[in-house]
Amino acid sequence: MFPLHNPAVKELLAEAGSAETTGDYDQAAVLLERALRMQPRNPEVLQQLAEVQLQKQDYEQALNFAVRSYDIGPRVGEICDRNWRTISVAREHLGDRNGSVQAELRASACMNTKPKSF
Amino acid sequence: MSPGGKTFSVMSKLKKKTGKKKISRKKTAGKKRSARRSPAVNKAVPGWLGRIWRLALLVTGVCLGLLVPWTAYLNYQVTTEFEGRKWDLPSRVYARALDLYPGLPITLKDLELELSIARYLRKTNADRPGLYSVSGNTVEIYRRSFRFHDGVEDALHFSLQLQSGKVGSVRDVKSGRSLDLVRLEPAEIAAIYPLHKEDRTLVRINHVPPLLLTGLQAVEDRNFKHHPGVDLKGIARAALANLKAGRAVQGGSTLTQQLVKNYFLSDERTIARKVNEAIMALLLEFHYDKAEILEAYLNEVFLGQQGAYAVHGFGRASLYYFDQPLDRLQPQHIALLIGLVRGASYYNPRRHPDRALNRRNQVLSAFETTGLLSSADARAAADRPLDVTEQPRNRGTRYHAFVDLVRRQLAQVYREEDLKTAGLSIFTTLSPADQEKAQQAVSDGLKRLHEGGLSASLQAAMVLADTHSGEVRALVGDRDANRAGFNRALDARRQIGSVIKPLVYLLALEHEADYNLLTRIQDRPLSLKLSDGSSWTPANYDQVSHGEVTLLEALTRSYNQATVRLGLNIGISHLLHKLEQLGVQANVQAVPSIFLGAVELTPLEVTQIYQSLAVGGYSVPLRSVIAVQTAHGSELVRYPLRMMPLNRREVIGVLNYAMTQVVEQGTAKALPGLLGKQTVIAGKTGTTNDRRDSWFVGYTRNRIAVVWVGEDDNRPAGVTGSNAAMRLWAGLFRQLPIESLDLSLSDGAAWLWVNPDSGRLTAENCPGAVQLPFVDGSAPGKMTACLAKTRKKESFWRKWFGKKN
Repeated sequence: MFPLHNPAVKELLAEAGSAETTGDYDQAAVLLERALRMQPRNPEVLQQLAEVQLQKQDYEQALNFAVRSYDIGPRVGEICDRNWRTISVAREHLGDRNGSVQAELRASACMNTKPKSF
Repeated sequence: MSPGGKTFSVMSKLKKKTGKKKISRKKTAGKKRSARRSPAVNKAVPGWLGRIWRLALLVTGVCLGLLVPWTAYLNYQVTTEFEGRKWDLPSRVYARALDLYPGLPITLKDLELELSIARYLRKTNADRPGLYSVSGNTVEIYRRSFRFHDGVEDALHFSLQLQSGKVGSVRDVKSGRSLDLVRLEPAEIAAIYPLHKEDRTLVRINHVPPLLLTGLQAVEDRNFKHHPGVDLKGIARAALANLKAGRAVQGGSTLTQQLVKNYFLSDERTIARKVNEAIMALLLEFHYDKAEILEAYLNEVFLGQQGAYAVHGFGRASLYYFDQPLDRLQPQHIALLIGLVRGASYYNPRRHPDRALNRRNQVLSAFETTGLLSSADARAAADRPLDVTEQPRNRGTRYHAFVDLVRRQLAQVYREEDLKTAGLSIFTTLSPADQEKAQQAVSDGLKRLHEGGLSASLQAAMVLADTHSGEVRALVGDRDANRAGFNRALDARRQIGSVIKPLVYLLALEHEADYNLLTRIQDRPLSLKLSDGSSWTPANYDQVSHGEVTLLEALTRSYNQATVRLGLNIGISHLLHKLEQLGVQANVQAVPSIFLGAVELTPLEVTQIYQSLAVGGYSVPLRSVIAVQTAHGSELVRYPLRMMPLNRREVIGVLNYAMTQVVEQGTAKALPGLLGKQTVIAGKTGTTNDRRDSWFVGYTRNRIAVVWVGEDDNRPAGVTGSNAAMRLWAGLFRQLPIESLDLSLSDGAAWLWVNPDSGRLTAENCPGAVQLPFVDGSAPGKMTACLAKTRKKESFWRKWFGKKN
């Protein structure tokens, strides 16, 4: 279910990371999209793209990519936590205060619930 | 040469020489003139001689009086036109850039196809940019430097290993270092031309081969560096040569004059034109420096005619004749192009190779006499063949249907005029290899249908997209892909028939309290009174009613009566709303025949609907353009990936499973045989009344394709979903690397063991147990005796030994 690590994707993730640190979020998004073309179901890439969208203040897309990452991701652990934190922030900015609080609770649940299938 | 590099604007660089210089020059010019005139005025000559003299003065005065404003007028023309003029540049359309990395599934054939469409030549040694070589399963590629929408990629000499249909390793040839990721130069697939039918690829003077610059002067204008625009010595020399030969063998026009002629003047041969030409040449030289004039000349001169399009400038001519960028040409190639200046149609190397060869060798000997080439080099070059490609590269009209989609997508942002003149670089999502396969699948498929007894006039459309990104990879809009015109993929609005049914079942499954895949529904005759008083009696395709069937059976076997009954329970308005939600505006009347697909949609719209399902409930707009760049290489518009999660995605997961069963055991069960592979594929066939339309929608993990087959005039065509469109679909996917659809469910649905005969929950080891997806809250309430027994056993053991919870 989870993609094996692909060095090309790793390289693009790293490049996107450095674009982010220099504040070039557009370029970071382009690089992450390129990584997604290789591994469209990589939850890490999707989540990173969601975080870039937060930086770009495109809260709707931030929310959407984080939801996608959660949907096809492990739904537990560190990524799950980041998924829901992004969702929480995005909802807050989109005026959904209640949803934001809910998401915050989901985030904390990620770290102490076993995944369903166990 | 790079996509961006080809298309900068030279003219914007043209600046007038400084105003200061201009003013001072004008002053001296004025002084000179008055100085020359003054003796004549002061000299008094009596008698008839004097009268003639006065007359002459009058004429001179009148002439000057006219000439000065005329010159001023020409000056105005030259400066404003020349400076303000930006050449109308066609916009160029590029395929997606292929990323090569270890693990990428690609065959040698596809890789070579990608390379050849991007104008890479196969040679024994890939020792220059633009070449590649193949030995065994190793491919060595010397990538040209190119500009892409997100930056410039340098030239790179690398090699890669292909192993069992995949890229094994990628290495830098020089250093031997292994590379994780290499991007191939995208192929130029089309150009959108200005109305006046000129084609050019701009070059910058400091990027052209030096031999072109020196050689051009050696042949056309040896005194170019020194004359003020008009070369009196040159004219004298030409006149002498012509006198000697008894005919016009040399022209005395300078490069500047030639440019002026090309630029501002008609082709007529009159004294007045010659005078204008000379004045304008002088003015041009007065205002601009030699390099600017030469650069303009390089881009303006007429060098050939490709159909209705005039080939202007050396940049384009190089591609037109040699299919190579200018900086890759060898001396004999450069000589040929320079030779063509004298008469591009007379010396046309494709039509008159002997004349062209003669002319080229004349030019080469001029190179030799002027010392630009050594005698040995000149002679060696003269021995070379013309090297002109047999056919000029297809002038961009490779994939009409896809480019049509690109234009329409861009029409929302750009005026058509801008597309034609602004020299934009348009980066698209097209995969040339997939496009070729799609075209092949359509033409072969239709040919085979004809052999099987169907009409030879059958038409078809095909859309192939990436499910996750919505990027359109290929588009076919006609049985003959080379024909531009009616684009059925975008414009054929046809009834979609049973292709609509999955949406009816999706709506049913959203009512988790009432329906799951095992819910029994009735496939029995029914007659409906319509609002206009008529009655409608839908029949099944096999004219049989199947009685009580499960939801899953009714969908996979595409039973009409069961579907209409189910639809009526759900409501027409809900179905119309669902279509809208999935991105399609269908203007239809709310009649019950909609449940059987009495809705007219285009293949692209159908693709958009099913893309959302294929990706598990995310609406991703189909895109054909990723980015558009201006001629200067600065970015204008980007079309990033956007996705919108739909509600009830867990239900879509359940539906996707049901659609895999269409292929596994339903109306599309011939598909695995046609593909020769056992891949998990979701699909749906569609047939309309009287077999007018044949549809197939199918998707794998990464790709979705929709195919339509029918007659343009909508007459009965003898086609069904599975006998026509599905075959074309299989013809495409047989050639693609495909992966099984991912059937994992999102939160809110789960796989359960059930017994489909009884519709009850069961246990894995019980007889007849299968695993089916259920939306939470839709699981069967009853369990099989076998499960009950198992549970009892479990609870017994748990009671005694298990943990309490």
